[in-house]
Amino acid sequence: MTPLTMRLKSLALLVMAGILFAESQVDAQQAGAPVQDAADELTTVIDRRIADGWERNKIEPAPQADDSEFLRRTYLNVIGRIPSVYEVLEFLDETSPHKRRELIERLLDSPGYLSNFTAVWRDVIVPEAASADNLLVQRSDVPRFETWLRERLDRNDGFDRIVREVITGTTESRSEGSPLAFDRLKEGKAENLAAGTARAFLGVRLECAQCHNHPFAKWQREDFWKLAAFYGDGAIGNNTSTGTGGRKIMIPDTDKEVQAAFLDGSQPSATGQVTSRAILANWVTAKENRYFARATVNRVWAHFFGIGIVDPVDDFDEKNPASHPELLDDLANAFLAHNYDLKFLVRAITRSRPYQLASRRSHPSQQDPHHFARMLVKGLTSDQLFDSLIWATGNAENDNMRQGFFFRNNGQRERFRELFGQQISPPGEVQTSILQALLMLNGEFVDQASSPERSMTLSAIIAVPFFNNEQRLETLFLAALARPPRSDEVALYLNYFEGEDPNQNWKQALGDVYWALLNSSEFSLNH
Amino acid sequence: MIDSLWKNVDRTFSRRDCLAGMATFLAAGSSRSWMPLMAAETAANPLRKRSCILLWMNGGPSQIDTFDMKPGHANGGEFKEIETAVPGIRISEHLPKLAAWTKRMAIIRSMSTREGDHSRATHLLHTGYVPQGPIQYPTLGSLLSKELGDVKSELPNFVSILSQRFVSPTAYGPGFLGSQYSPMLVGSNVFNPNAAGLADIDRTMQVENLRLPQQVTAAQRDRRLGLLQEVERGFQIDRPELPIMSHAAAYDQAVRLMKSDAVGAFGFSGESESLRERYGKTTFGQGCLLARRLVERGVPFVDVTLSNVQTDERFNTWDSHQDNFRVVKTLSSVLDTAWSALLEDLESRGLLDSTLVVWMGEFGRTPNMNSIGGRDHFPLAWSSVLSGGGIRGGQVIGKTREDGMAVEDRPVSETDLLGTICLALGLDPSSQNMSNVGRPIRLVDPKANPIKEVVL
Repeated sequence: MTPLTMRLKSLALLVMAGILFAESQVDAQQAGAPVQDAADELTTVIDRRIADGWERNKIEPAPQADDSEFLRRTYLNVIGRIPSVYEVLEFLDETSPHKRRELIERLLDSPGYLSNFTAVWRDVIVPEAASADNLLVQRSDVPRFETWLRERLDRNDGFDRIVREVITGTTESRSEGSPLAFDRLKEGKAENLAAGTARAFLGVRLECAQCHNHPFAKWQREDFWKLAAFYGDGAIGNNTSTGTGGRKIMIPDTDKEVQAAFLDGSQPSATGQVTSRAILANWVTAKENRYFARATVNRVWAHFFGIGIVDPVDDFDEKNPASHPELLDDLANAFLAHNYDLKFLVRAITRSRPYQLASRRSHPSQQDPHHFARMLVKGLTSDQLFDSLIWATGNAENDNMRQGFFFRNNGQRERFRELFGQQISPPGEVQTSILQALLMLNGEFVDQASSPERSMTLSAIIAVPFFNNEQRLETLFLAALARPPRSDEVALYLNYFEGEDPNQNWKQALGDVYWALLNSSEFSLNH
Repeated sequence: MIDSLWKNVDRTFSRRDCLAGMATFLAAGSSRSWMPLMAAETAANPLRKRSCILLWMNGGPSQIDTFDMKPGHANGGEFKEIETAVPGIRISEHLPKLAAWTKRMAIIRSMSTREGDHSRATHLLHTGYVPQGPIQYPTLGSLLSKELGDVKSELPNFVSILSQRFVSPTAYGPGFLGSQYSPMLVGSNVFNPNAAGLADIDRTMQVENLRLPQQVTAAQRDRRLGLLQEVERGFQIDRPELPIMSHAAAYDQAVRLMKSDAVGAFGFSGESESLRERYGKTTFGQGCLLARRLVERGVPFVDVTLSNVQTDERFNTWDSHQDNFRVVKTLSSVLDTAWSALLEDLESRGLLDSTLVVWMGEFGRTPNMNSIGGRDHFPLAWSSVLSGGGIRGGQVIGKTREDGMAVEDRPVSETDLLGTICLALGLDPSSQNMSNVGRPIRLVDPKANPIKEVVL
C-alpha cells in the first residue's frame, strides 16, 4: 500500500463512506487458501483449451489485467455497475493472494448480482421488454416477470427450471411475480412463441423458416411449424384451450396441417394429461438435448467476453462454427453435471486466465477476438451506463420528474435508454452516435455531476479540508475509472489545476477534470 | 480521423496549450463549413435529393370533418364543404387556405388499417408493422433519412419537431438501424399548447443537448475538450477498437455541430416577422417554418407533430372523443394556416417540387357520433394526404361509402401508403437493410401495393 492510498483510504472511510456508497464492509479475512471446488476444475479446462488455441495459432496472449482493470470489469459484468471509491481502495489494498476469487464470491452474493442478471436474462428471454415503450412494458407484465426472475436467481434455481416455467407459463414454486410476460410480448401467437423459444433457449434462428424454405438452411418451413404446434393452443388462459390440445397447427396460406415435433424430428409420445407446453419444456431442458446447454453456456461466455464461442450467440449452425468446439462441449457438460447452475458457470469463467487478461494489445497476434488473447473492449448497456454514472457522481436519479401521463418518459434514465438502449451491434462493435455524445457533452446529468455545487462526489471531495490537489485528483480517477492516475496524468492535471492563473477557481477546474473523465471512452466502455 | 483529432495536442499540457490545441482542432473541423444555398440554386440543382416533411396528426384526426365530407348524411356533422382550386374536389370549410392548394395534393380517402389503439397504430403507421417479436422496426424517418441523407453532412439527417414520443417510443426510434439514425429532437414531449407569443415558442423549440449547459462558458468547454483528448489518448494506445474510434468520431462530429453555423438552422434568425405570422403563432406553425429551414439546408426528413391546442382553458386534441366539432374546428385553423404557408413558402423558394409533404395520423374517427358529441377511434376507413414533390396533384384516391363506415374503392393499407411515399421520393421500397435478427428487411413490406397513379 502506498502512503497516499493509505491516507486516502482512511479519509474515504471517514468522510465519504456514506456519500460514495460504501455498500458493504469486507468480511474478516479468512485465513489460508480457499478450498478448491468444482468450478476450479472447469477453470482449468478453460485455461487449457484456450491456451491450446494460442499455441496452435502462434499467439502471444496479453498479460494479466492489473487489479483495477479486473475489478472494474468484474463489477460491470457481475453486478452491472462500476465500483465506488471505497470499494476500489478496499480491493487495491487487500493483500490476500486469493482476493480476485473472493471478490467474485462477494459479488455473486450481493443484491447487485440479482438486479444485473435479472436484466441480462430478461433481455434474453423477452428481448421486447428492453423497449423504451413504457406502456407496452407495463401492460405486458414485465415488472412481474422481473420479480419472478429475481426470486429464481436469488435461490439460484437451475436454468432448466427457469426455462420450463417460462415455456409452460406456470411456476413450480410460489412466486410474487409471474413469467407470463413471455407469452404477452409474443402476443400468445404460436409462431412468435416458437421463434422466441428457439432463439433464446436453443440458440437457433428459425424465423426465416416461418414463411419459406431456404435452399441451404437446415430447418425447413415444416420444421418451424411443427415446433410452433406445441404452442398451438394459443395464449395461456385461453378458455377454449385444454392445454393438452391436438398439438396440430395449420401452416398459414396452405391447407397443410402438421403435427407437433421437436427440432430433432422426433415426436412426443402420447402422455395423457400433460400439456403440450410441458412436453415441449421438458424436451428443451432435457439433458439429452444438446442445444439447450450449449446455447446457454455460450450466452454466459459471451456476456463476460463480449463474443461467443459461437457468435452471434443465437446462430448455432453448421455454417457458423464454434471457435473452440471442444471447450463448448466441456462447458456444456459441466453445466449439465451441475444441474444448470448459473453461478457455477460464472465462477469458472471469471476465475479463468483468458477472462483476467488485460485489454491493451501487447502483441500483433492478439488481433482476432475469437482467440480470446486479450479482453475485448465492449459497450455498456444503457442501464449499466446510467447506473455507473449514478455511482460515479453520487447524484441520485432526479425524482422531481413529473410522473403524469404526458411526462412519463421525461426521466433521465428513460432518455439514456432511448439513446443507448437500442444496441444492435455485437458488444465489441458498439458505436457512439452524435446524439449520445451530445447527451454526455451537454446533458443535464453529466452537467450536474461536474458542477462543484451540485455534484455529490465533487462537493464531498472539496469538503475534505486536508486534501491537496493530488489527493483530489486521485479520488476523481478512482470514482470514474476505478484506478489512480498514472504519473504523467498527475503532472498534466495538476498543471491544469494550478495553471498560471493565481486566481483560478480550483473547484471548477476539478469539475472540468471530472467532466472529461465521465465523457471518456474509458468510462463509457467495459474493458 | 482519430489521428487528425488528437495530433494537435501536445503532451505537455496546460490551460493555454489546451486552448491553442483546441483552436487548431476546431479550425480543422470548420474547414468543412456549411454555406446556405440560395433558393434558385437549390431548385436548379439536378443532384438535389428529395426531402420529406411529415405532418403527424397525433391522436387521429376526423376524416369526415376534414378531407372526406359527407354532406347530407346524418354522419356528416356540422361542417359545410367548400369548393377548392380543383373542380369537384371539396373539403371542409375550416380549411379555406388549403383549398387553394388541392392542385398539389393527392387526397387519399380510402385508408384502411386494422389497429385502433393509439400506441400500436402510431407504431404501425410509422414503421409499417405492429410491435411484435424481436425485430425492432425502424421509424419512417430513420429509414428514409438513411436512404436520402449524407453521412458527412453537418446537420442531422433526421429531425423530429414536437413529437409526442410517450405514445409509443419505439414508433419514433431507429430500431435495428442503430442509434446513428435516431432523430435529433426539437421540443420533444413538450406539452405547451398555449404559447403566449413567439418568444414562448422559441423557448419551446429547443434542440435537445445542443447548447452548452447554462453555467458553462465556451472557453470552459474548450478546456474540457482538451482534457478529454488527453484522457482518450492515454486509453486508446494499443486498443485499436471500433467502440473507441467511434466514440472519438462521434464527439468530433458533435463538437463540430455545436460550433457550426449550421446550427443556426434550428432558430428563426433571418425570417421576417410577416413570414413567421403567416405560419401562425403556434408551436405547430413555427415547427413547419423550422422544417422548411431545415429542408432548405439539405435535411432530408423532418416530422412536425400537431397534437393539441389550448383555447379558453380547454384542450383541443385530434383525439376528439367529446366535443368533436369545437376541437376539429380549432385544430383545422392551426393546420390550415401552417400547412398552406409551408407549401407557399416551399414553392417560392423553389423547394416544393423536391419536397414531399405528408399529412396523416394513426387512424381516423368514427363517422357516427357518440353520446357526448365525440367521435371515437376508427381505423377502417380514413384519410391521408400527399402533397408537393413527386406527387401528381389534383386528385382524390379511393372512396368511402355514403355513410363513411367502409371503404368502397381502392383500400389503401399502411404499407401501400409507405410504399407510395418511397416512390414519391424516388426510392425503391424493396431496398433492404440488415435487421437485428440477422435477416434482411425491406424498406416496405413486399406485400405493399403502392398507389402508382399519384406518383409523378
